[in-house]
Amino acid sequence: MSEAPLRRHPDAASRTYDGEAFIVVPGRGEYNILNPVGTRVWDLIDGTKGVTEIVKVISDEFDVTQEAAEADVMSFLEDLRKHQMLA
Amino acid sequence: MQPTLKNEDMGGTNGNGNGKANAYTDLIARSWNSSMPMTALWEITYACNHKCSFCYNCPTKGARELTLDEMKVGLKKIADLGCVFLVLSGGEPLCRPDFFDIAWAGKKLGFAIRVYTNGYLVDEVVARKFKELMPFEIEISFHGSNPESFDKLTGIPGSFHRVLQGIKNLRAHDLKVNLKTPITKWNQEELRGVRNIAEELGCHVEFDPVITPRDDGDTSPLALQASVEFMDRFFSSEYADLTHEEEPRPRDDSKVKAVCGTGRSTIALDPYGNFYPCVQWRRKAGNILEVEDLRSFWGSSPVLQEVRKIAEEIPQTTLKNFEHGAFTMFCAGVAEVQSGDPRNLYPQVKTNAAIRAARAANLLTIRSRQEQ
Repeated sequence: MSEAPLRRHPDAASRTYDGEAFIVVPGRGEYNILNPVGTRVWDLIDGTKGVTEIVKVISDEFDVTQEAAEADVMSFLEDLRKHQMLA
Repeated sequence: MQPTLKNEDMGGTNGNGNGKANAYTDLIARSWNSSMPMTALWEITYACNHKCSFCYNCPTKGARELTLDEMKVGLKKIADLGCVFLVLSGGEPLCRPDFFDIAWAGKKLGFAIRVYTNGYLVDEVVARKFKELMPFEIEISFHGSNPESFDKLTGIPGSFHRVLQGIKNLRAHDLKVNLKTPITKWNQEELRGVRNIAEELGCHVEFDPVITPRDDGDTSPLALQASVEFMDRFFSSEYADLTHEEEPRPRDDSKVKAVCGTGRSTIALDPYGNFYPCVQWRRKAGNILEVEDLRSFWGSSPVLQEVRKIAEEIPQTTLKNFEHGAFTMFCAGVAEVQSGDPRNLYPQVKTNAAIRAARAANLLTIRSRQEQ
């Protein structure tokens, strides 16, 4: 896993409503709504943490194995990349 | 639980069920029901380089528009309130020399920026600045497909060609541009021409059938309303391709309590920092510079609480007692400024609702015959 810090796309605008992040990326004409776990991952993408650190937090906070957390987080990050939400 | 992402096109922005049901409309409905504001619309100046006789703005004589530093203070409070969309409107927002400073201040606070402009000042330099800013979308008032009627409506000779070039400059940078056309008696026969121009330019277009009185109650703009005969046609199947309404659907008040999102999903501000429940309903709730904790104020303001209460009453009273109430696109702000009471039906809404209801009934009859 890359340890480079993950960054949000600089044009992505987001706010959290009722525990779910609502994210708009200009130029795509679409919006994205994350569930509470996805919202926690989004919060952790703050330009200082790499994938390993994020996986560890998710594993600890949601009481899942490191392997399961890693698979879920990697798949989720791929979704974020696909929708141009990461830098 | 796995982290998941729901991704959908921006469909309807309407919480009462008229838009396509999806996660976004569900969020809008929650925004309405729990008074969770998502949009701040800020008229940052009343200066304008067009002279549209139907404009609803009413500048206050002697009042001072906020400085850039004051606006930055206000923007921070709005961000803390939880809004994600910041609409910069006017007047003509680009008439402020510090427009891009304001927009960037909003961008740095994490807003998705929308700009409502007439496009007149968008030369290549301004278009490049927009490209750097990367707003979510730019909405341009576009008054017709005929230069003569366009210029007559704006009061500025040559405005049609200049605005058209402004749109082209923005589209050259692949920026998302929406056109908005208020329907008047001077451009009512040009709507398909506008649609064709929009298609050529790669823009979405919306036609606004509602001309409103000025914010001070002056009803003179209504003299420019499209004819009743035309509105009959506009809401009929003849214009279904432009209204995006293949079949008029009744309101679904089971999802939301209020007639609209006034005082709930949107906060509207004028250039002096006064804020209101929405852009149409000009009951001053406060001034952004005088309110320290906007989030707390938003919940406890007597003005906003009353507006919310009235907006909840309307579907249960005004619309329930009106035979075409289910097909009514009602604006309490227009009702108040036009009739003195936000609960009153006003002429435009009666006409529109009756036409939409008749069309829905007609479609039902046709479908019933086909099934037999």
